[in-house]
Amino acid sequence: MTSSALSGVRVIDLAEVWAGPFGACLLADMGADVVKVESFPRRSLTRPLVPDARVADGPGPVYERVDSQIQGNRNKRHIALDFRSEGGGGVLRRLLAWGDLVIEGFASGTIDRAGFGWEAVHAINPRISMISMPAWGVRGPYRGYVALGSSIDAHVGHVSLRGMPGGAVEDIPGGFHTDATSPIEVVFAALTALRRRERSGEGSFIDLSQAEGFAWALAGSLGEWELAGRVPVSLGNRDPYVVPHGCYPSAVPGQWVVVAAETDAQWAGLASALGHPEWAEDGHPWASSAGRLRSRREIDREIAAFTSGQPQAEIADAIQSRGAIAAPVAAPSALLPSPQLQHRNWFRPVDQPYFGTRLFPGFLWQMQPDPPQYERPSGLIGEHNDEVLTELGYGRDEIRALEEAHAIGDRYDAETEALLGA
Amino acid sequence: MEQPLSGMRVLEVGGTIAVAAATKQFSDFGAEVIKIEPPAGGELRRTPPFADDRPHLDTGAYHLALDTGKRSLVLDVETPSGREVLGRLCSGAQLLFLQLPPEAAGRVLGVADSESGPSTVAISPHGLDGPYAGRVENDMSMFAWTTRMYRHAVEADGEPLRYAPNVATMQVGATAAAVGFGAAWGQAHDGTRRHVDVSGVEALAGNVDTGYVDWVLLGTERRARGRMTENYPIGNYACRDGYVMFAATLGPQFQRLCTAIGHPELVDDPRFNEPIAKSQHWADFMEFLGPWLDARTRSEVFHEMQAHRVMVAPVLDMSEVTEDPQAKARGSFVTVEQPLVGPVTIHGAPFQMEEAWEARPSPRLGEHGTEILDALGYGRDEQIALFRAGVTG
Repeated sequence: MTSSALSGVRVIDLAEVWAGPFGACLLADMGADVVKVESFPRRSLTRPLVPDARVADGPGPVYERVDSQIQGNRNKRHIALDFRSEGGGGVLRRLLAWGDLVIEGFASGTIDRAGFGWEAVHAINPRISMISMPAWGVRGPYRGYVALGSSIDAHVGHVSLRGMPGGAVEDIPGGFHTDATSPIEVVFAALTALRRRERSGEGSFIDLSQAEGFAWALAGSLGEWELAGRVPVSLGNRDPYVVPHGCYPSAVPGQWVVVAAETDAQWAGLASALGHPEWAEDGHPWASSAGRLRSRREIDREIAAFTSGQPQAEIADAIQSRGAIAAPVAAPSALLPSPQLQHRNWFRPVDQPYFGTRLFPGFLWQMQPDPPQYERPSGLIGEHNDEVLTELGYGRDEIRALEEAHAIGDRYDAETEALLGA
Repeated sequence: MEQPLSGMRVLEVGGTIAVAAATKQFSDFGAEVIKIEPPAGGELRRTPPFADDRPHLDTGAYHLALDTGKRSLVLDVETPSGREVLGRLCSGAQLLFLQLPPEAAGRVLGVADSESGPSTVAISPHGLDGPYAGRVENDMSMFAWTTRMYRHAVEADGEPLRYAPNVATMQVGATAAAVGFGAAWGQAHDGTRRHVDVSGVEALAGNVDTGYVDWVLLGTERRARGRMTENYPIGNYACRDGYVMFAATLGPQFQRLCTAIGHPELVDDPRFNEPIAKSQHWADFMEFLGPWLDARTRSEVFHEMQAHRVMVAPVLDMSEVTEDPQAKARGSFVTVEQPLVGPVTIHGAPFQMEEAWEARPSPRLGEHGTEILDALGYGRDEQIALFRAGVTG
């Protein structure tokens, strides 16, 4: 059993790709009963028929082996339906009557055109809340505009802050941090709506702009402009007020470490790790934080000389053991051997029919007395159609009829698509 | 309408950016948040920038943005006297957020551990136990562990880069807020006090898009690739007054983009109509896209392309974000009258819900000490004794 903190909370996940589904997943980790409604026969971006760069090796359908689909959908029940069809729309209406919360992430306006905008949802069930999470929100002149995480990242100002000092803007890669921030805001928004309902008895509509959900993380950079009148620019790994503060090469090409000393005590530890405790003694020009600020280049050179002779992990351990800041720039493969993550039993064996058992990333938090667990791996398409529809009151014959009408389904194939496309 | 979290009491200990980000969510949606601060002010109040570049505990950007609506009590929780006060604050609170080194965190959690106490959320870089629990990290070094930095660079094999300052730390704070709310909801409904341990590394490495899942499923480690000229247009392209960010490489996106620039025929051009040929003709394509972009501002590119449903957005800097039409129409930014500084514009609600969110001024260090201690039943003599002992301030 996973946590039971949200036991009894019923969530309908209509979202696709990453941000919305993972938000629903986090609610499920805390014990909410989440029914994921997947589009059928239209496939979502994360359900391809043909293998591409995101697909794991293994037997069985391609669309059951996609990385993002698998990571973002644990602990849910999966149904697949065409809610634009008469029968499928009926199923969604019954689900909405059952649920406490529905999450959708289509471009703004899409869900309204399908007949399930907020007014319709509220009429079906006045107690249900709805989170709509287009890139720039539901209201406003950009209604209907399309975006990926990288578009939002550019628009909120993050691209202007992520490059090397003085570097070309063309070189700054796309950033997809909203895929991580939006799920977190979905959780907080869901609980805010539920708490309001405790007193009002009514559900709420939440207009979750993924831009706004992320932008407040740039509080300090906005303050640079608002309070000091400077347009903040890319600093790379530098900190304008802390020396040392940077990323340095190790002895192994492509493996880097970050090193910093924010206080005199940390600097003393770092100086000692570098074999020069005298750099932190009274009278030495680098002993004071102001003095270090004046000697950025020289200090950077000394640190790089030290790091470039040793492997990544040894550098970080040596500096950390003396109380200064250092960490390897960890590659994905470096997480598994981390003694810390091993100690915390962070990785979880996940068993899925089409690629066997793999060690998946653990949870975003630990909780006592009821820790989060992988109760179910990401579901197969339509895996829980029968179970969920039965709970909604559909009889066996009705379910078969919905299948025959292609209103629900449990497999994607070119033939079905062609049939419905015709 | 009442704010949705009114009636909820939340405590914050440690004075860090992450812990303040966590409780801000509660404060702005109507909870009563008491910020329990070390006498010298914490990390949050000492982090630049400051109004007019004059360092001051009450005028920093992070404090003004993240402490909105909170009350401030200076209290040294490292003393028995401080912990007695904290104990009284805990009864009647629903949630306690803290960020302290592991041993100090353990002592504070001990104070909260009573039947009437709150659920707790302890934030740290690596978690409260394990061989790295005592490590000191900052925004950059914590981020370095999460696999996100590994692939964030401006060129292939180049120096990995952090995100903008404290973006990773803010994400840890927001995560703590979300799970803390879940714990408080659980306690309100089943009476079970929950204790949450948020490791910054786990909170980011466990979230989507980290690269670890690719590695475990596909055996690949995604790295930075530099400018993309094989598949395009993706990334930042110059136009008349700055840059726009494209994500328009895929079939229908590319098709609509060609239509938007007035060259629908390019879709069938043998140089661009299949992936291998297309990968060799970026320069040819720029002969069409380049002049079109040169003739237009970011705003014109954005709206003309979006009319064709092409994924593109303007690259804005921090002096421009508040002037954006969408931000203005939605009230994405708000201006708060801060007593020592005057009007300060900060980011608005992280999500919009009717009459739910409001940013009120941030407290001066220790501004509400007397009223909080009064309400806890401390008499004047006792308050003087605490002050005289250096516990309050």
